This record gives sequence, C-alpha cells and structure tokens, in this order.
Amino acid sequence: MSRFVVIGDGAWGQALARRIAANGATVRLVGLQASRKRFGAGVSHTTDLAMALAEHEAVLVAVPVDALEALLRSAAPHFEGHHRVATTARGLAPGDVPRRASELLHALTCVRQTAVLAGAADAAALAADEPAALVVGSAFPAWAQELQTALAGPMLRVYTNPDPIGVELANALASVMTVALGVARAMGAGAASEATALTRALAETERVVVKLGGQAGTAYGLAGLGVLADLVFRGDGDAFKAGADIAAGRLEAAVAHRELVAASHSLAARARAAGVRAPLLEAVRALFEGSLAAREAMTTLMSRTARAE
Amino acid sequence: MLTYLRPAMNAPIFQFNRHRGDIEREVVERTVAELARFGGVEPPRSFQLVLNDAAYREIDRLEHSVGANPEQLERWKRLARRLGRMTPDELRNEAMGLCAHYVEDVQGNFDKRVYNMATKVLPVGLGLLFKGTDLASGVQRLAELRALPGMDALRDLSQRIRIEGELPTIRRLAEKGTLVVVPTHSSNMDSIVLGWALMEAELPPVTYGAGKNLFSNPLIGYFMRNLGAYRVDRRLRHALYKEVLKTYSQVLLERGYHSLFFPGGTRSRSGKVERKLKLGLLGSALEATSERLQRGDERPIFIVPVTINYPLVLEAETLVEDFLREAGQARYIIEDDEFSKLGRVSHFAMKVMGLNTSMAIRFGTPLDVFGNPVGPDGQSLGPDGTVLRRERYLFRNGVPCADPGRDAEYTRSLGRAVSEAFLRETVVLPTQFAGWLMLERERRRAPSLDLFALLRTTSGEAHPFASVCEDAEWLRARLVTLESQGALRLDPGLRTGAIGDVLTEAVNTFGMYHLRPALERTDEGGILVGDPKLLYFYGNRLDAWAQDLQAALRAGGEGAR
Repeated sequence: MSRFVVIGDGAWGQALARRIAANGATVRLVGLQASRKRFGAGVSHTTDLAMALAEHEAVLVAVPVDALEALLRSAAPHFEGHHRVATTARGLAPGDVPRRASELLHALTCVRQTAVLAGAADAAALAADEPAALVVGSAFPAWAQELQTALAGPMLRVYTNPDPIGVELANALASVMTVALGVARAMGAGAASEATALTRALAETERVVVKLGGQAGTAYGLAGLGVLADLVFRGDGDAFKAGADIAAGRLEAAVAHRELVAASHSLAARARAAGVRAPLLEAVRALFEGSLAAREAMTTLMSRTARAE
Repeated sequence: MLTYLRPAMNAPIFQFNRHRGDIEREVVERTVAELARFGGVEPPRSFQLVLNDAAYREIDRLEHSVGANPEQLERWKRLARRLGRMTPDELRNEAMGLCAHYVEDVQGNFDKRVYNMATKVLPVGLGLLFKGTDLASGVQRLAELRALPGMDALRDLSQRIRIEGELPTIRRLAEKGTLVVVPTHSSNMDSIVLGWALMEAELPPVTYGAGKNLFSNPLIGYFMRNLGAYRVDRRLRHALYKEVLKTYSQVLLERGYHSLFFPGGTRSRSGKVERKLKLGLLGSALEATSERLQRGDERPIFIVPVTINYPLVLEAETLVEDFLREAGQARYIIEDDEFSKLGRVSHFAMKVMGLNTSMAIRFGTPLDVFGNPVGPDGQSLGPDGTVLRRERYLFRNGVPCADPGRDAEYTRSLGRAVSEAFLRETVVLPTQFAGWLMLERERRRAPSLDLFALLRTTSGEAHPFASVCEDAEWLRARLVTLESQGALRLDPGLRTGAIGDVLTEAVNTFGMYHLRPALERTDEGGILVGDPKLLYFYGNRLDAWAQDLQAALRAGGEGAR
C-alpha cells in the first residue's frame, strides 16, 4: 500500500491528503500545531516532521511559497536520497534571487527526485469533488506516475509533464497575467481587447518560460493556458479580483494579496536578469507598486511599437 | 636533481596486464549480450541488423576515404552480401569475432617500467618533446638526456604548471574508491599535461580513451600506449564499435580502474568553458556504482572535476577558425592542426617555459555519482553538511530498485554539478582577462557590427593605455568580488599585480607564440588589436559571466564620469 506525507495542514494540504487517502493510501498530515480535528479515513495528523519523514518516502509540500525556505531548512536533516518530493506552491520563493520551489529544494536539501504540482484546481474544488485537472511536472517518470495514480479521482484528471521548470514557471506566470486581464475586464476594455491581452499574456509566458529553461509547449498546457483560462473564466479568483481593485483605484485592497504582489516582483526580476522582454509582468509589478495607473497601463500596453506576432 | 620518491601506490592498473585476457573476454561477452537485443528484436535478427549497420557504414567510409585498404573494403562487401544467407550461429560468431577484433584494437597497455621511468623523467621527457629532439629514438635515451645542456631550463616545468585544489582529499579518495577524473578540454596537450600532473600530485595513473590520431606522434604514442590509454577510432561510427567502447570503459570502471574522460567530448572550439556535457560516461559511473552495489561491493566512485587553464593554447588559431565556420560544418576531427606539427609543439613548449604566467591545473571538490560533494573521508555531504547514505538514492520502499528513468535524471543532475564546478574552478589568466576586455572595447567602438563582422575587422586604432588600465581596474574589481563569492578563481598575478603589468604581461604572452599577435603595443604606448579572433577565443573563458562583467564595466565608466 502506498504511503504519503503531506506537509502543511492548511485547506490545500488537507484537500490533497483527503484526495490521496480516498485512493486507499495512508497519509501523514504534518502541521505546526497539534490538532484534534478529524481529517478523514486514512489521514493521521502529526507535528513530528522527523518521524513522518523517517516513516514515508513520498512527500507533498503544501505550504505557501514564502514559508517554503524555512520549512525546507528544518526538514533538510531528515531527508535522504530515497525521498521523493512534490512542491505545490504557486510563485517564486522570496530572496536575493527569487527561486523556484524545486531550485530551493535542490539548494537546501539532498533530495533529487522532485516534482511540481500545478493546474486548475484549488482546495475548494478538490474538497467539493468538482471537475478539475492537475499536472505533475517531473523529470522522474516513475515519481510522476506515482503521483498521478495517487491523486487521480473520478472528478480529477491528473496529467504528467516531463518539464518541471516550465510547469512551475507557467503556473506562477499565469496568476500574475490574470491580474492584467482582471484590470482589462474591470475597465470594460471589451472582448477584442481582452482577447489581445490574453494572447499577449500567453506569448509572454512562453518567452519567459523558455528563457528560464523550460519548454515552449508547457506555456500552452495545463500549467499555463489551463490556469489562465480557469482564472479568467471563473472571474472570481484572487488574481482577477486584485485586477478589478486596481482598475477601481483600490490599491490597498489589491496589495492585500501579498503572494501576487511578491510573484509579480520576483518573476519580473528573474525575467529582467535573464534579459527577456516581459512588458505585462513589468506592468503588473508597477500597478501593484502604484507607480503606474490602470488607464495609463492600458494605453501603453495597447500602443506599443508594432512588431511581428 | 630530479629524483621523485613516491609512496607505494596501489592502483588496479598496475595489474592490468595480468587481467588483460580476462577483461577482453568480459568485454566481448557483455557486448555480444547487449547486441543480441539490438534494435529491440531477438537474435538472429538483432545480429543481422547490427552487422548490416556496421557493413553499411564501413563500406560507405572506406569508399569515400583516400588510401583505404581495398581488401578491408572487399571483406565488408562480402559480409554484406552473405548476411541474408548466414545461419544464426554464423551471425553470432561473426559479431563476436568483430567485437574481439575491436577490443584488441582498443585495448591499452600498462607497463609499470614505463610508468616508473615516466614518473622520473616525464618532466624532462615533456621538455624534450617540446624541444623537438630526435623523437623516434628518444625513449631509451631519455635518462641520459637529463644530463644534456639546456635541460636546466626544462626542469622547472613544475614551476610553469601550477597544480592546485583539494589534492589531499583526492589522494585519500583514490585509496577508498575509484576516481573518474573529468577535465575541461581545450588542447591535445591536455591528457599529457594532466597525466604528468597526476604523477606530480602523487595521484594514481588513470586509464582513458584517446583519439587514434594522437598515437601517431611516436613519443607521445609510446607513453600513451604504456600508461593506460586505450585507442578510440573516431572514424568508426557503427553501433557495434560504439558498444565495444562503452562496455570497455564500463568494465574498467567496475573493476576499479581510475579513469579519465573529457565530458565536453571534444576540444572547446570557441574557447568557452564547456556547458553542454556528454553524459554517456558519467552515466557509466552511476551504472557501475549500481552494479557494484548489487554485488554487495560498496566501494564508491568519485567524480573529480578538473580545469586545465592555459595562458596560451597550442591550437588556438585552428580551433577558433573551426568554430567560426558555419555551425554543423565544423570538422569533428582535425587531422592537421598544430599538434601534428612537431616543430610547432616544441616552439609552443619553449614559449610556455619562458612565460611568467603559469598554466593552472585545478582539482575541484570531488562529487559522488549523484552530484553531491564528497568530504575528505569519502562521505557524501548534503547542502546542510549532513552525511548522506549514498545507496539510498537507489532505494525505493526500503530495497534497491532499478529505475532507468530515475538514473538518467540523476546523471543529468551530475552533469549540471560538473558543469557548475567547471565554472567555479576556472582560473582566469591575464591573457583571457585582456582578451575579453579588448574585444569588449572593440565592440563598443563598433556597436552596429555583428560578431562575425567584428571578428573580421579591427578598428585599426590603438586604445590609449591609460584608458585600458581604467577599464581593466573596473573589470578586475568585479572579478575579485566574483572570486570572493566562489564563482570563479583568479591567477594570483591577475588578482594582486599592478594593472599595467597585468596588461603588459598579456600583450607579451600573446606576442611570444601566436604567428599574428592578438595584441600589440604601439610606439606611443597604446594597445592595438592585431587578431580579434584570438581575443575572442581567449576572452570566451569569461563568457559565462559576460553580462555581469559588461554591467560592471558600464557602471564603472559611468561612476567615473
């Protein structure tokens, strides 16, 4: 029988643990504080990370990206070569050089077998058994399949993708791009303008993904286009709402979504360092900063120098 | 006097000749077993396919090469005609016969007497070779020749070649396990110079595959043959031969022979530190580890990245020309470069002896086959310093588990670790420093030119020395910072010397060897670019940091204004 550790007992961690347990696996759910809550059949809660890692080899990390570094530092002594780890946080980990979760994992621990989980599914969708899809990005085929089997459900499709870098980046970029699309929608830009913005968002995602070491196709897969479409179609996610707040001049409400602000900063920084053109990323970063007004952003973006597609 | 007293060393290669037949049998057996699965089909079809591939490629090669042996061609043609009618046994025997033939051709030799002699006289021998004395008869006379006049200048080879890095650790690891030495590759001199460096550093000899063309130089050939080199015929491109080579190196590794291979695959044509590595033999190291583990043999394999840093590269002109020729048309094997001209080699060597700047051979932190650093006791260390149980990487649910997909990614990860080590352990020398800086200044004079146009022309106008010195200070300051962050290494003279002296040293060094000097001093004291291609070649050693250095140069210039 397969056995998993899920680190992080927030809504997302709980939803992942339940999903895996529903397929018959045993899951250790690790949290910072003891909990008497019942997490469902097959899921047992603990605060003892060392013990959980000594017992089980397959690990999902479900902590937000800004808590990742501290967690990995404390977990590092308990990891060994046989551990297989999937990270699930969207965005880049903050630092002098913002890093992807799997870069951080490689820099801080001895773990080699890594994977990233991304896609158009959140805790609520998973918990409510709504139709959704996830993608497992990993260069380790057996680990990717193990995760696919463990997570798949009647309403949850799970794909694998051998390009973890692309999956991780596309996933992070999609949420930032959604902010720009939220601005466009709230300003009543119209379907044609939104379509233009969407096309540009995808093209930019591809450029950044490729320049930072991923595959072009990944931008158009579930982690990129999939997430973008999910967020835009739903129109009620954080990123979309942040865009609406910016359009309405409610900057304070917009920057309350700290993870989005951080993602726009870190991704723009990585893109700049790599010398890749990323006007949408820069625009979102400037909008959050307040150094660019929404109206101005629309004009600049739509009136950039003409170039071939 | 040149007396080299060395501790008794215990390396498997000293017993090579005793196990020669044994090794040959194992290689043939394993190769044939592998070929039996060729093309994903069963024998006899698999043997038919592999023989057909060999015959087809050999006929094609022999028909298109000048001076090919007509009997050999006829033999392959006969085989191709008979393939369809051969019985399963005949097919298998034919494949086995060919494997045995190729193993014979590939197999090296190790002569302890030559090794002992070489440890004593190779420094002089290298000097001799460089001097271009009568080579064919040179070997027996090497010892006597030590007494010849002029040898004094050659004896201080060790002062012209600086060997640095984690030598005590690597010496200990050589006793605990098997070393796979992986150097950067910029010259045909590499394997010889490195062979000497291993002796000098009291590290055991290594076995390695060397292009067959290198054996044509009689003295070098003699040493290579008797010091553990095996022959790789790069003209043979068929699967059977490639499988023989792969199995041969694999078997030696599994038997604990310290090995050497150049992961860049070929000499760096551009002068850049190689980034794209050939993973084949790195993969063999993991495979051998896993094989050993299954036999309960826990002797580890250690990967030792090495950078070989030349102030002057023997074949610089040919290499950069080759690089600039359109991609894809690059000649893979250069048969007629500087290395085959003895006069040129000796000219080069004499010049190197006269240089103030030493070449540097730098041994980096050893790695395990998963890319983790290895400490002095042979233990693999995690990023947080914890000691790792290496075998756990091959485990799943408590037991060793075969997983080719996982192992392939481990090997890619090891490749990345080696390529990062190459950068960290690169020793920047004055010629590379000046090469990068001066080409950058030329580029700024003609910003609209693309690289190829830039390399075909020079601005023809001397750069004022004071202004070059100013830029050089900014550049050096940035390099010193990078060195303090562990990103690269600097030659001591470059790190602390007066900047004017560093530049003068570089100009003089270029002027001593290359037919057309890369840089020249004008009568007014300015620096004139003579050959931008050479600047490009030498400066490319800094290419990995180019963006960073350009920014530092710009910021420095702006700050000054």
